[in-house]
Amino acid sequence: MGLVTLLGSVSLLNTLVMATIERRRALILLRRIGATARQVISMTIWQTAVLCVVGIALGAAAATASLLMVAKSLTGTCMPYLTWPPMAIIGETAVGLTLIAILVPTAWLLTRPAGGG
Amino acid sequence: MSRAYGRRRRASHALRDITVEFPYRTLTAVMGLSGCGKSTLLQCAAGLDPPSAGRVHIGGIDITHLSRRKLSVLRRQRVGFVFQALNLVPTLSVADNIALPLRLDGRRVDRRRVRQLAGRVGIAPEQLRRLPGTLSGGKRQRVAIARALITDPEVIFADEPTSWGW
Repeated sequence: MGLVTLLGSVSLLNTLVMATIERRRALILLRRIGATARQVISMTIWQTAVLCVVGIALGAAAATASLLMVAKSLTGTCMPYLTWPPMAIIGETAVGLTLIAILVPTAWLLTRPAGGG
Repeated sequence: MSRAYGRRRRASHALRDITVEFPYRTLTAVMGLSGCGKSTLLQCAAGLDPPSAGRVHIGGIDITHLSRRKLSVLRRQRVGFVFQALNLVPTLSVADNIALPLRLDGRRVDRRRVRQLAGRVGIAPEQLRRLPGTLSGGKRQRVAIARALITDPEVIFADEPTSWGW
């Protein structure tokens, strides 16, 4: 479980940091044509929120599909046994990691003068 | 004004004690070899890059010591830009790219005016919904010109707008 979480976290961080760096040009352009740092950050937070909602929904759906089959074969009913605290921790970790992976590189880009790039 | 890069002793001067003025309703072309400081001059004059020494005024406002936030607002209200490359947001349609400075400024977007401006620079109405990546390089620069014009800026800075890249 620990290893799976670690590997998942690393790939999540890696993907999102790379995606943000690829958007560097667009972010620099926005700054150049007059977006304030606050506007860029708030835009990024909104995008992160949407990404988290969609990601968690898809992840939960994929997990549910396999869980239903496991539950069916083990217990004979389709109702899996769910405990909320671990699920909440997984969700919070995903959101936290996503925020860090997107906001840290964005903030770093914003500390540079608008002309850069 | 001057602009130097690097630490004091080893600083290389891109601009050294330059004084230049661009009067209203005039067109100024800055020419020179590559690396002679044209882009630096433009970036400093447009409030994109702070000069190391000296002052910059736009429309009577001394922008040298403005906060970054005020500089951003000044850029989107009074200055238009056409860059050599990375001019447009690739995920926004042509029309949205043209209207972007208005949106950033919290102003209402007049779709008719966007269409009109696009027409003036040679972008057909049916091209407004397309993404910049589907247009030719020359067309993309035209879109950037329309975007620079949409706020009726006091000055437009264009850094090698005809040698476009992506």
